[in-house]
Amino acid sequence: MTGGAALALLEAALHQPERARAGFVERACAGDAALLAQVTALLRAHGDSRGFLEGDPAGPSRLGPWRLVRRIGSGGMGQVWLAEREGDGFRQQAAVKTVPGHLADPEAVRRAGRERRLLARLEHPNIARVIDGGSAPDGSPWVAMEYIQGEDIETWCRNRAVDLRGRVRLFLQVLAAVAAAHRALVVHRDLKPSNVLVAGDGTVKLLDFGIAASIEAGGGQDGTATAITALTPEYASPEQLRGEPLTTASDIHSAGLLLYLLVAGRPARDSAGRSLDALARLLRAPAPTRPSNRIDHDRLALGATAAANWRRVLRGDLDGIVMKAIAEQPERRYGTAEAFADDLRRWLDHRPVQARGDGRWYRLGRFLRRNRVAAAASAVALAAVLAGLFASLEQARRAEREAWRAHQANRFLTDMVSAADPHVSGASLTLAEAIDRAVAGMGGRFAADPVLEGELRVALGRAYLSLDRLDDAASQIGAAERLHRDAPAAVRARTLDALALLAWYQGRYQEAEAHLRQALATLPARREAATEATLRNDLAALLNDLGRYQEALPEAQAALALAPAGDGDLRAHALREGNLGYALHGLRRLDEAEAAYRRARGLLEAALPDGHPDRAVNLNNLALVLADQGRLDEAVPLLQSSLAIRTALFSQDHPSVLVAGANLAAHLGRAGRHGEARTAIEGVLAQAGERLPASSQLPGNLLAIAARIELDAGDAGRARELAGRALAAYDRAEAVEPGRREAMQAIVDSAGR
Amino acid sequence: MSDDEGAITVLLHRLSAGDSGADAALLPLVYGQLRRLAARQLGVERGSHTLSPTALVHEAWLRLSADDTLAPADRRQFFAIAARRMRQVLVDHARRRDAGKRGGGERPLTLALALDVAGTGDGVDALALDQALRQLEALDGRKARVVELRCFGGLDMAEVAQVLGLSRSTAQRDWEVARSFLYQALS
Repeated sequence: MTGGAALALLEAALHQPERARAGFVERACAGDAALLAQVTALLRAHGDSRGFLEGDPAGPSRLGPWRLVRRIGSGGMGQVWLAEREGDGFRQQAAVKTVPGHLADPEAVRRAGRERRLLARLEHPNIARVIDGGSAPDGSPWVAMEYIQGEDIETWCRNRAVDLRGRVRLFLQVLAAVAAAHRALVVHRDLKPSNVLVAGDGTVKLLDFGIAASIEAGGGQDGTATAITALTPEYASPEQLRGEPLTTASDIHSAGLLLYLLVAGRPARDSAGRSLDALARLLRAPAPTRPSNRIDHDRLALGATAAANWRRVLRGDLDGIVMKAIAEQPERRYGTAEAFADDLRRWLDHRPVQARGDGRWYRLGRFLRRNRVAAAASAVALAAVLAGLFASLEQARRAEREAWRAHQANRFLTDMVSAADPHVSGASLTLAEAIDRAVAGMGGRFAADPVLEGELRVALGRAYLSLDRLDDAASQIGAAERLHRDAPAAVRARTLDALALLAWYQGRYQEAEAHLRQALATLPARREAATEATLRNDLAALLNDLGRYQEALPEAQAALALAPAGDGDLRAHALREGNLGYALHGLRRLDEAEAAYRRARGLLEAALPDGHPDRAVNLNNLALVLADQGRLDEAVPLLQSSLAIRTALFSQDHPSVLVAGANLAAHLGRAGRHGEARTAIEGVLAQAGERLPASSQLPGNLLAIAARIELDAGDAGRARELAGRALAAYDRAEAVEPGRREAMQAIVDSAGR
Repeated sequence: MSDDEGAITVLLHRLSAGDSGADAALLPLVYGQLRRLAARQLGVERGSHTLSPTALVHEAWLRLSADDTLAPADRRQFFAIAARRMRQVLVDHARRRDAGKRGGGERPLTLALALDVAGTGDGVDALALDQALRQLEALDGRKARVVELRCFGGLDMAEVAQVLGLSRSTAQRDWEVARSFLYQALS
């Protein structure tokens, strides 16, 4: 019988090097034969018991036709062996997965059989194939799978110094596999780097569907049971950490964490092991910060310049895509792996991505930003139009010898002002009529000066653009272009600018950009600072609208530098600050964006009366930055002011009012003020009624916001009803931005969850 | 969180704050919690013949840790207690299964001791292991605690060392000595 003394001696012996232990024990027992026998037996047991209660058995040597060569891994539910089988002149390798004997209860056998069946229906080039399967003599199941000789995806990228775009392209293969699995109604549930191998030829292979579940087989109960023991905490979704039933959204989250690792060079969450403490910590940890803030220079093998460049490319849209995929709440992630992949492809193509803003309101943020441009344009901002007219006549006014031209132009404009300025005449929304009258009265008035007539027609064309009367704008600007064929370069540049705006509003973005760049190229260097500032500012606005914030930023900065604030036109300067803020917002440089918008706000307060539509736009944009900074309490009053300005200026069913109202409602919802949010959005929907053109996506968008508000307020039934109506509205629209339908479909589909 | 779990949280606070009387009140509560979780895991509808102590303790802790007020010290107290209670739960279940076996012919309960360190293949009988652990306890209580924390609490060696206030190498040696002893006793 082993006693305490023998245990103490064994412990002392373990301090010795292994070869010296027998001699040490013999000396220490000092002739006590019984003790020596006990300790010697214990020493032998020490060697023999390696792995006992520790999980490291020798395992079987053969399964079915397969000879197990060596163990190459162990996962949550079993071990993986490199195995070979030989036949008539061929030798085949496979990865054979076993379930340990003590786990081979009927449930485990059923589970292994299910994995085999699940995988058998997953024929996809990016998913490791099942070759064979069976049961060991003790009844425990095994599965033989395609053996992939490769490296895990992160190591593969590291060893080949793959750049950011290359990493994203590689990752698209992962999403292709995940999408195929989801189409076959299979959830992987354990996506992590070690389960994603890259073969020698660069093909990605997704492995280990060991804890995969069939969605249709009601895997939820089983999912709860395995979630705790089998997950990999660093790559688990919040719902997985909480042990809740898993869905395809959990795979999207895990895939997002994998992409995070690939683009940042380090995991979103620091590896904390699988200790209970670590699990508990992960559950309470705040959401990971953006990957561009966490670039690991060493692991990406980047020098300082290369790292700055990497960060620049990553920041903004790709950041946004990753953060959307790993959103805490499943419904705020991409609805499908395909949608995730589509957005990455858009990023690769330099197109605007779905994942904008904080990613939590689907495309709401981008939608509102897009529409605030439209709102600004259709704001019937009389002062804006007039300022444009005056600016286009700057040359004429400056040239003393052409004083009569300035006089003519001024009279023309003054006539319009008195007829149309709501701040002067108290009349509302008569600008359109005023411009129509001006156009009608133009014939012959400037026959002696075709260049001046052209400039006025450009100004009138711009006015029509702000009124969204694109055909009328096209005829004025087209006439101006013909009148200006032989005009000085600076004049032609301004005409090209108007042509660019027209093309932009008509959705021909490439043409718009080409006009602006041509105008900049033909402009005489340095002599036309004001015109150049206008062109660069418009280019910045266009690039902003295309989501190309990185390119927009220097244009906005150049526009500001070309025409400093002290240079006169405070409103124009405020608009440049606004475009700068917009680009910075897009680049997620929120503090700088806020500063720019606040500068713009100060300028607008100095330059424009209370209640001017430009101020409504500025308040709206500033509020969206504050909201993205999490400062909802500051954002909401600004949105209310913005709405109040629009309500005073426009009819209640004007898109500018409806959009601002929906925007306010959405943010009230975000601030947790569900009751007010609901009241606000119901007011918007009542006003919108059937009056909005069905061909626009706006009716659907308003319903989508309402659905989101109900969902957040906890009324899933009403949310589904509204989402269904939004889908119907989208079906009637001519064009719907990608992702919008999917977002609503996801809500409708959430019925069974 | 159930009423019991709320009470466990409060008692853990008191224990960490030095109220040793909380210990006595805590033991039956933790025992009850683990037993309910075990019964669910072994429930008829799951048809399982194995218990995973580590998964049970994980689950028990995760349920408690939804309470933000729990500190690391509370966690150590919980595992020290839960590991011991887990052992009791396993023995109770084994006894019941053995009693059932006399009437039926069911397999004796075996322990799935190491779901975390997958694939042990050790089909260890719960009652025999408990017996051997009692012997070890009589010789060296600390080593028995190491086994409890590792095999029933699901802690890794670093955590075991932390809970018992040992260096990592001392804890590892304690484990190897205990492992040798148990292997000898059970084979």
